[in-house]
Amino acid sequence: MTDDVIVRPKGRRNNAADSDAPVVKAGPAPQPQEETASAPETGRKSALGGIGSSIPFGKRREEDRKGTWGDSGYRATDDQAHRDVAYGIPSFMKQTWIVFMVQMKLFSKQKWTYFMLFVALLIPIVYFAGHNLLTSMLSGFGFVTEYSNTFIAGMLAFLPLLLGLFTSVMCGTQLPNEFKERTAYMNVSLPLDRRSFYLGKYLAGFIMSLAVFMFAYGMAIATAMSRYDAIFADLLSSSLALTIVGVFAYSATAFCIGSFMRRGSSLIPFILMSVAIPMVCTLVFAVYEYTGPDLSWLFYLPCFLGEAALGILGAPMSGSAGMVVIPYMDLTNIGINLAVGIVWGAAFLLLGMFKTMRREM
Amino acid sequence: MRVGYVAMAAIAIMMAACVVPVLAEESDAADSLRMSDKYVLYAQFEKQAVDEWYYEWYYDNTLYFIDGSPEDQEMKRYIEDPYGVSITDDQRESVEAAPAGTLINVYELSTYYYDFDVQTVNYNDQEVPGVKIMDPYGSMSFFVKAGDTITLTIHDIEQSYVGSNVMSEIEASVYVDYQTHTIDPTFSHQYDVSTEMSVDFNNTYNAVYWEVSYDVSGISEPNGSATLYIAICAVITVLVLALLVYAGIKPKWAK
Repeated sequence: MTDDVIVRPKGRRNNAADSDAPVVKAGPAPQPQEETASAPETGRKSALGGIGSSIPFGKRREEDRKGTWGDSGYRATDDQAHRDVAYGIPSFMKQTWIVFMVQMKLFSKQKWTYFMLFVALLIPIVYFAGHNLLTSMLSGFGFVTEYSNTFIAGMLAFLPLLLGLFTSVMCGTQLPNEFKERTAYMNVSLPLDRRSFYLGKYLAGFIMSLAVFMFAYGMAIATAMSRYDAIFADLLSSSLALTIVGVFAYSATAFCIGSFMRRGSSLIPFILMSVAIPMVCTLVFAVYEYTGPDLSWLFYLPCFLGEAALGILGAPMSGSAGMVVIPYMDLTNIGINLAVGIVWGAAFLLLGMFKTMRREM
Repeated sequence: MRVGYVAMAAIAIMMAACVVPVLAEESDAADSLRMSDKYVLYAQFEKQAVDEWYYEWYYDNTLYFIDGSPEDQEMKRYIEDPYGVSITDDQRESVEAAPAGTLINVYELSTYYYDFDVQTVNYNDQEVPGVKIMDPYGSMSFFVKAGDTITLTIHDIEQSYVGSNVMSEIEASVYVDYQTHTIDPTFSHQYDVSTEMSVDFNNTYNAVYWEVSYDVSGISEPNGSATLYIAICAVITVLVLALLVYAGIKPKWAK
């Protein structure tokens, strides 16, 4: 004897007061099946009814789908059928890597990337094309001497200026462009750690900027070797280290400034780091040089790392806003310059991360 | 992901190689150095008979030799090997007494020379365009690293033959901190930035060359090969460009 399935209207309890409520008999209740070895597990019914019963709802249990593979005799262990696979959000490093590669892909499509590499390639081109003119110009500024390091510094005379410009272009516009083009609203709303989003984009800009300046150094050294035989290896190492930290400090500053801006601008970080701060520091130092306190510590700021990189090579001056500060710098211990640059860059990076994580969408 | 870890490790190693300085010791030197700041212009004349009222000037910055004489041969050897050959005298007295028709080799010393404005050499009321046969050579400069102290002591500055009596001795000086410091006989200074210090010599009016005996300490000499650094920069650049290409090839990074 089978029991009828009784379907009651919603909102009514099964009590004596509702004995007059209309009920619908849905027919005989389904008989429980005999359990056999081949009988598949029964799962909950789909909320979508008949059609929904054929649509998988959740991955925890296999549904009993009559007429499909459920009764085909398919047998597999949980491991073979990957039933124990846990699906979750990728790790922090994985997310950061994906954002990094996506940004690198964007860089591969930007003209500025190839323009910057071409500027570095101009170093040997200009030297060999206008050898006599360039040599006489460099001699006039004290870059052509008996030693290769000063010549390398001459080839990289505009390093401080281009440090600010290239890092501003690479790192200063990433975050504002994300919000301007509305892609950030799609990315950040996903289960993506904002820190991964921030760091992945920054790392791509930093690595790209670093590659450009390493390429420029390689071109300058190779060009110098066409004229000289040996170099001061330790001084070149110091100069490279100062440039790497300079790229970090400049790019972190530009990225942080970009995180505060609604509209991207590659000029503001460049003007701040390569023009405004150096000029103000130089003027203040000049005013108080003879009558006031010793302000030579101002030249430890990261905006003078480009000048320090040239000064350690023996350059008498540089092609930047702080062109006359090299003789007044103290490069006896570049560890101070490196430490200040790293702390500055880390601080700006953290500030920008804090701003990005708290940013309202 | 594995590529990213390898790239990061490679960059870290290279950055460490850049940061760790190669050991370089300061060097001292006790040496003698010959140098000249003069261009030598050459012209040959055939001595002509002149009027009695004509007075032949023999200039202090010019050397006169009779062609083919031992002194003239010595001068020619000096032109070919300025560091190895010394000249002692010219032959202006013999030239003055030489008869007409004698070939006279005249070497004029000048502190400047322009290709577009060739200087003329004068002798015996004749004027001939000079041919530049020697450029200035030798200089005294030292490279001092940031934090090092250079000490330079000049023992002696010996002039070569000059055409007239020496009016004043050659002086050595350096230009440091926007001031000229005469080296008499020692100069010492600590530099805060790496600098190439050049020594200037004054009162060298008519000296063909001069030799400096000196002692110096606290200087550095180039001691490294650029190949390693070129390789480091090239590898970093190539790695990043490879990442750039790899990122552009894959159609979608986030699944």
